[in-house]
Amino acid sequence: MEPAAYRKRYLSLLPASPRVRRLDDALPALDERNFYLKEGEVEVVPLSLPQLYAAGVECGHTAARVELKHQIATVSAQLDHFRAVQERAKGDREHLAGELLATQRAFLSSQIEISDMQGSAGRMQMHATHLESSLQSARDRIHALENSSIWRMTAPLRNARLRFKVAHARFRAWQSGLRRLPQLSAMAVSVLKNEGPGALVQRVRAKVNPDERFKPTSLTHYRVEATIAPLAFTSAPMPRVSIVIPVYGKPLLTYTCLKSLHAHTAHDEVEIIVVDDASPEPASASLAMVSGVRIERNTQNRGFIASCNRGAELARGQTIVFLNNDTIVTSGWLEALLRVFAEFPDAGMVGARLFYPDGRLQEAGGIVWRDGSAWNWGRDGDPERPDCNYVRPVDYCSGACIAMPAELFHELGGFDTRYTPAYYEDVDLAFAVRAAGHRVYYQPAATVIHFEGQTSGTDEASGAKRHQVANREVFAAKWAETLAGHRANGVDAEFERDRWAKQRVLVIDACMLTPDHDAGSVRMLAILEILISLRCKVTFVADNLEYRQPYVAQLQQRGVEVLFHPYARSIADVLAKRGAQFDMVMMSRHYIAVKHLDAVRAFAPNALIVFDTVDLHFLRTERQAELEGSALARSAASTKRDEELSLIRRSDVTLVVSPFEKSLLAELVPDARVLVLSTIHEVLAPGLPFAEREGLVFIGGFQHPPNADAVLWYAQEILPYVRVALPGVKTYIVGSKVPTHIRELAAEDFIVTGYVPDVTQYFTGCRVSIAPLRYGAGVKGKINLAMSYGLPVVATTPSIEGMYLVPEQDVLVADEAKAFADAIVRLYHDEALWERLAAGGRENIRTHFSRDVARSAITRLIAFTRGAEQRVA
Amino acid sequence: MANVDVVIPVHGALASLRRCVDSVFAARCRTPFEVVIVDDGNADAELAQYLADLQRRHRVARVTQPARQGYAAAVNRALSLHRDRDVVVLQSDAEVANDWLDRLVRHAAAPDVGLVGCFTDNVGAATYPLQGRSNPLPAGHTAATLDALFARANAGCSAKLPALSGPCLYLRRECLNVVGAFDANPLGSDYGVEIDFCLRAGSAGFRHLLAGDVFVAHEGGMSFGATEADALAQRANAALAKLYPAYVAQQEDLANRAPGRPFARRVDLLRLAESQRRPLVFVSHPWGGGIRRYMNDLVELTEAHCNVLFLEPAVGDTVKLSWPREDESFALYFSLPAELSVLAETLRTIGVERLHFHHVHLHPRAILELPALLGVAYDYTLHDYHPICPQYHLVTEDGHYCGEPDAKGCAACLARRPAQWDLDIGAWRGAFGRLLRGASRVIAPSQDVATRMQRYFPDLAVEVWPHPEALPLPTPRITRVGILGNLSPEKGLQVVAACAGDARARGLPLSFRVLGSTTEPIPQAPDTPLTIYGQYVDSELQQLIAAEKPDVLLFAAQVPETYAYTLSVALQSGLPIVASALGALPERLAGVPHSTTVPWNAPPAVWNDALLAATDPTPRVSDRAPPRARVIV
Repeated sequence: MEPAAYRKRYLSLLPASPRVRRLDDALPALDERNFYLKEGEVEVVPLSLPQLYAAGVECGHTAARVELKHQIATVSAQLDHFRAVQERAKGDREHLAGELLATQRAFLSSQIEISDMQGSAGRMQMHATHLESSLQSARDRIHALENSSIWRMTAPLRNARLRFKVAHARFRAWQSGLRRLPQLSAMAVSVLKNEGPGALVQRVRAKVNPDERFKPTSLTHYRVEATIAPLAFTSAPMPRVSIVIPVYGKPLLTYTCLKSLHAHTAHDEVEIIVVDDASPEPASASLAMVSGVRIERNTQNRGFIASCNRGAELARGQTIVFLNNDTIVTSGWLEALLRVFAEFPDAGMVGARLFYPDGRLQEAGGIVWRDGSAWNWGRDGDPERPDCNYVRPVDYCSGACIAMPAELFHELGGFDTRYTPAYYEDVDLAFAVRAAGHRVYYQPAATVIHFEGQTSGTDEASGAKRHQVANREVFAAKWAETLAGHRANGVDAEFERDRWAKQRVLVIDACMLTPDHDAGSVRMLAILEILISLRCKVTFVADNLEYRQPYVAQLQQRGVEVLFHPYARSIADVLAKRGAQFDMVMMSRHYIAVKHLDAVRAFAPNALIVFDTVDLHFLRTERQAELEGSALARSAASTKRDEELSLIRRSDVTLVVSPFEKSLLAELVPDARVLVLSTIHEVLAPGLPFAEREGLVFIGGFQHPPNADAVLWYAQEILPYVRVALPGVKTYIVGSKVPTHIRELAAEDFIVTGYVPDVTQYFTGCRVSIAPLRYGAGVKGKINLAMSYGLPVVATTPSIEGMYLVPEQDVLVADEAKAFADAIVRLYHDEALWERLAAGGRENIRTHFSRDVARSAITRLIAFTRGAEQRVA
Repeated sequence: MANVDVVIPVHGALASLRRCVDSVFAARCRTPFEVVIVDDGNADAELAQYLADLQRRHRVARVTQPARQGYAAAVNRALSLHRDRDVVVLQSDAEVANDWLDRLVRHAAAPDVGLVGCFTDNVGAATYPLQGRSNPLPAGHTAATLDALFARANAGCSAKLPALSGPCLYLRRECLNVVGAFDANPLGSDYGVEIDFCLRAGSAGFRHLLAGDVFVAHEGGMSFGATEADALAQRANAALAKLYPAYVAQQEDLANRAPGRPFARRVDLLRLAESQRRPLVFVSHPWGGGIRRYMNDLVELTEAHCNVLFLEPAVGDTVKLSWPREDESFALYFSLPAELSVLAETLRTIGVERLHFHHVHLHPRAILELPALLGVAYDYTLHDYHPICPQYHLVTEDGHYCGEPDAKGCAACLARRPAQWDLDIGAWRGAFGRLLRGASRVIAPSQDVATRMQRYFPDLAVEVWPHPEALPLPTPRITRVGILGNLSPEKGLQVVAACAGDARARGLPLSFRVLGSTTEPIPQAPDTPLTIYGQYVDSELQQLIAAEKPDVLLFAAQVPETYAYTLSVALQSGLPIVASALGALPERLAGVPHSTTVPWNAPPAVWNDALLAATDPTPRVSDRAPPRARVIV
């Protein structure tokens, strides 16, 4: 039928108009099986090759032919594969047959050996019997000999033999070490050449000393004392600290707390005030065996807050510590709390690290969320975790143990009684402290065990809960404005933990900072402190992840979060987990930067990448290469140069220590942002007045060749003139690793001190500092050190290069022996000149090398971070 | 304050970006959000101008990568902009609509959720209408209308997937905090970074949800160049296979049982239910043949008015309801009789107005109850004799017409070859009689079928409608070219192949027939107009020529022939001959009527023209005056 006609007829029973329909009913309830055809039901039986051949070739079905072609190709490939496998198997079989034969032969020969040995065992048995009898006769002879006089005479000789044996064993050990030398020595030589012997020693030490790794301490279980025994405190007449302990019943708990105080607190500094909140059995009675503690009793039960406030009113110390009676303090707790007030002038309240009795962490500072709910950071966790162990400003610390200045406490009106009987009064006080412009600090070094929930004896459990909820609302309403800036419960806890911080900085250095050993650590420590003072949260990690004490604790006490093994498994691990948090990542030293820069780029997309050169490494290697004149060294140096310049290009900011390096980089890498962050010196208190000072001082380690040259030149050519003009005036040569030829120069007026742990007395007591360096480069520590003490310096021209010093204003300069001696003599007598140079030198430190200079450089550095850019925008 | 950052990494294609951004700001969402544009080092001034304008008009955060660092880096940069917010990563060629974000946020509120993804038309973990394909939007739909359908069909529904991808991914901050950043390093490129992220998140305990109620349109195909994309995808897949062997093993299973399928089906149902076209259901067996052609023709004829659905047996007692269109993937399965009511309810939902029975072979018996249950009218087209004979072709085991024996004969036949549903012949005809009588029209394509049927159902009204068919075109006249002998390259195998190709390309009325075999494979019908007879016995070549009746014989030798025996047979046949002007061929053809010589290295077009000229307008075997031999130079 004609299609159009068919359509017309076919559709004649359907309405012609388009349908208009809106489905309001629910869709049918279909099931999984309506959407998916059941598995395994569709069975496709493939045709065999002969069937395909018949259909495709014999019957002419195209599809069958195509399939046939495809399958034949597959089969053919499989066939090739099987042939190859067969071939290999054939080879394997031959090989195994060979092995079997060899094993059979070995087995036979072992059997022969075994029978041989069985034969010789009998012979050896006889031999052993023979030896035993010879041994006995030898013993008898020795006995006889030892009692003879000749034996006693030859004793020293035998001792010498023993010593030889020890020496020989050591030599053998050394020799075996020597075998590993080729690998190690290449590395060592490169460290030695590039970083100096100090670095090599440090590296070796880091390698061989397993103590630099963190070892977890085993958990201690704390228990409440079972009985009350006599306990006597000596009461302090002028207590510095008042410890207020509110109690209600539970004398054993209170006693346990007092016993720990007795053991771990200096009695002559503290007074202990126990406020008895009308316990059924008066505390004075239950604690009758405890003396030297002031026990005050409320006439009626007034609740925890009132008791605390009452205790505070009675306190005489300038610092009040509120301590719950269900606590145990530990060694050094009070010193740690007080230290925070000394180190951080903005501290208005300090809280402790709280443990559960079983050793789990209860609180490492608290976070208060937008809705007023609070978290104890680190709760139930490992108390040694890095994030729980650095001093930091927090939202609050639990009232179980808090310290604050009495004056501030009274100024703020004490604990707010609207929270009576308890809950949230501690958080509220912390907020009041913060609102008054102070900070609340968490001190991890003060560890206090808290039997939480055993204090509030008057409340039923349900009642306590009710107060907590009600007081939270009161609190949230009171501090609504402050809380608006907080995040919602649980959001970004890591950021809320360090709410005070505006920026987050990760610093990666080679090793843990050891400021009492090397100048580099002193500088880096100053940088970290300045960063913290500029409201940066600093996380420090040593590339070797070491946990070297006491340095880790020192950094933590200064507010630095220190990461170490095993909490950090690798630098890459740290970056991968936390990279995105950081606003700045600073890598110190080129071999650290080269190792981690790519990972930092990848994992810290927001971070300003800062490469702290410490010194430009390629400069030194190039100079060395020039001195050595070797082509190999030159090419190595040029590789180093490319590597370091590439690091500078790939970093966002590069730090150098001198303007000279900065100008050099301006030529080599014109696009790079380079900041000078030099060595950092404080302007120190002036020592003795001019008239009371005497003597000359030179300071400098002798591993640095220019120093040895300078002292030699001074002793041989300058000193003779000085002796004539200033008879009896002593010259002190201070510095470690003194070579023999210099030590031998020592005289009554030429004193070679060797290493001196504290050099202050030389700078505060000597009249003139000398720097007779004839060559060398860079910033001179010796001159800056002297000037930071206000001690004038006589120096040569090379000594003051790049130091911004003006002759006659800040320093005296002379390059000839006679002139140098004349300058010393002149300065030694001219008080006006002395005062002028002292002031000039101080001013130079202040202008170019002081903490303030470093602070302004670091301020500029922070301004480069993205966060800072956004804030400005 | 915004809770969610909508991150749009930008690379080129300003028009797409504009549409994307406009759609974000036009959408009506309650969730406060902030748009974050990541400019991945685009130097384009026009784009820069647009972004600047945009920032004037809307509150938009803009992050600029100093140099192009790729997708992962761009996203990472944006992820860390506001560290307390959830993030939607939206491709710059995507288009959102309605309250899309609110719906995503609702899914994200469930515990342990890492990512939430959605449906799209191109490139993603869930595509619609066809899964895993690049789809055009269904006709008559925009991103907004389709999204509205998804929202209605699957409100609040989601499915768990091991990994998500697509133009719009919602990332929960909690997950980001645990899992970290996108990491392109292990995969070698940005290709598949979201998969890697999902899998890492999965192992950290997060689950990923495909939102069934959100559709985001996506242009697709602009992130990577096509060939580059293949290479990158391969590399990424290899890396993923190494990193997550379990995930790769899961892939095939996921492809077979896509977790998003129910959502797509419900949207299909809504579309079918509300379509202006009236739905018809064709009941048929799943095979090809004449029935299929008839059904396809009807689908095409009624396309403007009707959506035709097929109801076919699938496996066992399961029937499959499907929409037989290449651009649709609607298919539902019903196990009968248990789910007959669900099937009926589904068809009622769609608003099916008529059924049309074509065949019920292999169907469960319950199919016969469908019209009554559904209460709609139906047609029945007789394609064979199924209502009267379970063997349906009235055929014996050995392939003959059975002669329609009496009931006893039929019973004997069914004893050997039992009928479908195990019915005896009486019950069979009873059941089909009821079905046919209930039909509003019983259609037979020929009177013979009608008559035979009415012999068994005398009261049955049968309408005889020959099948719809346009008159076929007149049969074309084709010149058949014969090539004699074993065809090798020396004998002109490549020339013949090229001629067949040229004939095909130019639509010439030529058909090549190798009367013999070839020495190597050569393109054949249906690809080119060339067939091979195969090897013959020498002595029978003349009979072969007589049987095959070629119009012209072709000798395209590419080497100088010394004699050529087959040419003797050709000359003997008196057929026109076209041959290479090389070797002995021109010599032997000199003066032969109807013969043409062509330069041996002539292009195929010249050969073909000569072949056509040799036969046209000359009739096949001429009894007119023999024309002269022709030489083409």
